[in-house]
Parts: sequence; structure tokens; C-alpha cells
Amino acid sequence: MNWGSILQFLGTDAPTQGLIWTIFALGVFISYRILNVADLSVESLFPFSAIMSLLFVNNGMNPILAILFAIIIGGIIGLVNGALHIYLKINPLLSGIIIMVALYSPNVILSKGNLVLDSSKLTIFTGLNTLINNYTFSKLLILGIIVILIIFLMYWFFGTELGLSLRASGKNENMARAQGINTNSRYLMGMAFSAMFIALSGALYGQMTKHIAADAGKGSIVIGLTIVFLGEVLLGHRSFKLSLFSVVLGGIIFWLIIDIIIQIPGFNTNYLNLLKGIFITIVVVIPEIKKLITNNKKPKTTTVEEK
Amino acid sequence: MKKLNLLFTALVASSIMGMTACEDTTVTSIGILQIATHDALDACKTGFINELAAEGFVDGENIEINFQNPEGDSAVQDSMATNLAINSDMVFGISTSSALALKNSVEDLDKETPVLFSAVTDPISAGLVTSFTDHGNVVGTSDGGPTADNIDLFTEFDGIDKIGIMYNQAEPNSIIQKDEAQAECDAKGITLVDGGVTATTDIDSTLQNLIGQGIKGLFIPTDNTIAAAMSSMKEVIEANDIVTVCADNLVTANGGSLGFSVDYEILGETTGKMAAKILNDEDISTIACSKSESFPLALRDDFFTTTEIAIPEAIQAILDSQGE
Repeated sequence: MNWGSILQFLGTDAPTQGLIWTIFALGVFISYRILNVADLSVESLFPFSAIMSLLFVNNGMNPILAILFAIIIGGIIGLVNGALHIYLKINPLLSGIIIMVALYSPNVILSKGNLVLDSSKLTIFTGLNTLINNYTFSKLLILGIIVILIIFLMYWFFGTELGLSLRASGKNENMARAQGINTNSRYLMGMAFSAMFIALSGALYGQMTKHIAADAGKGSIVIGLTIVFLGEVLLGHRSFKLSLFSVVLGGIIFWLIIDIIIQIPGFNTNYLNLLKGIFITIVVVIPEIKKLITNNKKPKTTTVEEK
Repeated sequence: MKKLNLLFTALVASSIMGMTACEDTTVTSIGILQIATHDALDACKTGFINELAAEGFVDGENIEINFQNPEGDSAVQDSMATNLAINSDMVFGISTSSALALKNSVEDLDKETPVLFSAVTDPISAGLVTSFTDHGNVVGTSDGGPTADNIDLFTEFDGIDKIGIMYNQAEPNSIIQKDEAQAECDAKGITLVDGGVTATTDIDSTLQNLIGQGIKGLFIPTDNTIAAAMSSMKEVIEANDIVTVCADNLVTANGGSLGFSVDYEILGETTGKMAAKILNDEDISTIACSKSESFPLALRDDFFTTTEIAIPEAIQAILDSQGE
């Protein structure tokens, strides 16, 4: 069965884009949902990691090693971001903005505006493609395996004592500290993990698109948050496992929607950002409306039972 | 189950769209991808479409143009590029990143769709083509400007020995022009002060900083960020008698003084001619990439009347010869 032609028939690259942004959104999930921090540094960290991975590959490094190094560098940047808050007492929102602004310069300098993959070099995707000779399937296979691996790792890790203490310090810092958890170290760890996920998605994105602009991260936090919210609307957050799956589903559905919108014949794509804004608002508001409806229903049923 | 149904509907909807897009066989579909809305890029698109129409390829009749604009969003641009590569018989990328996205998408799909580009300053270093004549299925026009001629303009005015340059550090085309300008200035004994900005919000303070450093002239390369903010810089430029040479006639008109520039409509027309040749079944490998052949000199009279700077004779002579 030729999966590549089926995807072409679907007329969309939503699955591959969706999986890459799922990894990104999992990073946002850690910072936003687990640590309760809106981390804006991702806007620069994402293209930075892509630039790193392309630079490494252009200089002859193995593409897989290039991704690993990009992840390590991303983790260090995440630690710096966390340290700004823990040791210098900078508001977490501001520390993210500081990293975002500061990273812009290396992005511009290293990429010289637009960094292109040396056409003689292989990426992780084209590398596999030389073996199985189906590019779309290569991309899906690699991204699929990575996402599944990450989901398992995350599920396992956040079930360990360490992972649970990390979740606890994000949920209720004072309570966690009262239980003897070092919330500072947990915060640093969480920020590093989040940044490593962003770095992984950036590195993969760079190798997938084979070129990266210095300002390619523009609007990425919005995409990440929308995916997290969209996933929650679709599956809810009844359990941690479900939350992880909801991010994957959210990633793919989000790009499917974007793809459908831009394929409407005659659609003026200048309206895309406005539509995105409206879409995000609707997605965020749905849970509130649901709550309102269920709250209105409950008193009625109880009165009936009382009678 | 309702949620699963929703997902299913979305999948079906997208596959139907894929089908309708594949069905047309009689009309040639041309996909145009333009990174953002911008006077020069829009002019390029207009020139391209007009030239095609002049050659007998009219949108909605024998060709179908599908125009997409991600407004600067790289991730969305990649999705658009893939869609266009799947559904078009020919694709046209306006700006370096759009052309690269299209080229990579076509390659990734193992297709041989012709990829046209325009408004790319250096297609070779951008990795679009190996050389202007050796280019596979990718061909187009470069908007490389006449930087040397423009720096020469400063020497026509008395006492301009220090000039500034303003550009966005993230635009590779601007960086190339900055390096060219630096080399020209070194050769002519002019001091060049670097005024790179990272965002529109930096522009005012950078301009004030340059004026504080005593610049008498200002060079604006073809830079999208500065171009968008030019009308807001106009007053400061006029108040300080800064002779501003712009490598883009639309920017000159919005607040500069003068400058040789690439006419993007002509550039788009040149690209349109290439497209017409390909549509007439000419072999793409015989078509060479090109630059603009002539660069018209634009001059904004208002600047010279407001600042009472006299137009040098040599420049007046060029204008007169252009008028003929």
C-alpha cells in the first residue's frame, strides 16, 4: 500500500506539521500546564534550535547527533531561563521574554537571515528516505516514533516520585514545599525539559523544511498554546495520560484545520491570522460554556430528586 | 463518539478538497506564494500576472492562479507550499523564503514541477540555483540592486563624507547589500555607519542615533522592514537635511530623496515572460535566470523643495535623459 500517495491524495501535510508541532506543544504543556508559566522564550528557541541543527549538519555532523546537540543546548537555555526566575527573582513571564529577545541576535548572526541546508548533506528524514524511498512515509515514520517515544517517556517520568514532585510543585508550590519538595530545583528541571522539547521540535523542523529564517518562530507560542487548548477541548483533562494524548490529537487537528482553511478556493489568506484569533478564542471559551451549561442543569436535577 | 465523528468529518472534508483540486486537467494551475503583503512584492505579482495575460494566458480562462500569502508566518508558509506543490502545474515564489519553501516542497514530493522565483537578491547563495544558467527546474529573476550606482549618488552632493545604512538584520538580502555598500564606501572614502534594526519598533531610535553620529546621507537598501516604516521616518529625515538614497522607488516616493531602483513590476514581467516560455513548452533548462536590465532613477521633488538642497547637475541630466 502506498501511504505516500494516500497522503498526497489528502492534499495536506497536516500530519507531519502536526506531529512536529505536537512535540512543540508538549514542551508548552510542561511549562504552561505543569509549571503554570507562559514561557515566551520558545518564540526564539524554536528557530534557534533549527538553526543549530542545520549548522551542525552543514558542518558535517551526523543529523541525529545534530538533533541531540540542539536538544542539549536547548536544555541549557531552559536552565538559564529558570535560573533567571529562581536566583534573580525575575518574574517568569519576563524571564521568558528576556530569553526570547536575547536569542534573536544569535539567530540573526548565525543564520545570516536565512539558513539553507547544504544540498549535499543528508537530514534525518532524507537519510531514512535513501533506505525506504518514500519521503512522506519517512517523515511520518520518524516523527511518529519520536512522538510515541516521548509520550511513553513523559508518562513514565511524571509517574515517578521525581516527576510527581515536579507536578506537585507546579500545582501548589507552598503545599509542595511543605511536603519537603525542593520546588526551586523542580522548577529548573521543568523549564529545562520544556526547552528540550522545543529544541527537539525546532531541530526536526529545520531538517524537515531544509531552510530556516531567523524570525521563523514568530507566532509559535500561539500555535503551541492553541494545540494544548484544542486537545483539552477534544479529550478533556480527566487523567494525565489523556492530557498527553490530547496534545497529539490537538496538534494534528490544528494543522488539518489550517490546511482546510488555506485550501478554500479563492480564500484571501490575509484573513488567516484573524481567523486563527477567532478560532483560538472559541477553543478557549468552549470549556467555560460547557461549565455554564452543566452548572445550570445541576440544580434542576437535584430539586427533582429532592421532591 | 461525537468527537470521533467530528474528526472523521474533518478528514473527509479535507480529502474532498484534495480531490477537487486534482480534477482540473484542461486549465494549467499556477500557484503563487508570497511571504507577506508589501508594495514591491505586490507589484511583482501584478507584473507577473499582467505579462502572462499579455502572452495569452489569462487567469480564469486557460490558466488558474492560486495565490497564497502566509503574512510572514513560516510554519503556515510551509503548509501552503506543500499544498501548492501538490496541486499546481507551475509554482512561483515571491521572496527568498517563499521560493525556498516551494523548491523544497516540490523536491520532497519527487515532482518536476517548474519553480519560478522573483524578488530574490542572491539566488545562488540562497541555494535556489547552482548558477544563473545551471538551475534544474528552478528559474527566475534576482532583484539585486545597483548598490554601486546608488553610493555614487552621494558623491554628487557636496560634503557628504559620512552616511548611515538602515536595514533589518534578519533579511539576508539586506545584509548582502550592506556588504556591497561597505565595499563601495571604502573605495570612495565615505564612512558608513551601521544602523541595523531587529524590528519596526527599533527604527525611530536607530535613526536618531545615526543622526546623532553626524551622518549627512542615509542609504536604504531593498529592505521590507524599513520599507514599511519609511513614511514615518520622512519628517525626521527632512528636518535634518539627510539625503536619503533608497534602492526601491516606492520607498523613495514614501519619504526618501532619490535612488536607482529595481522596478518590481518590470521584474515581475520578466518572470512572467519566463513562465510563458515554460507554458509554451519551451525547455526550462534553456531559460537563464536574470537580473533587472535597467534601473530607473526615482527622485522625490518634495524632499528637495522642503530642505532647499539643490539637485546636482549630473543627477538632473540623468532625470532629463530618462524623461525623453
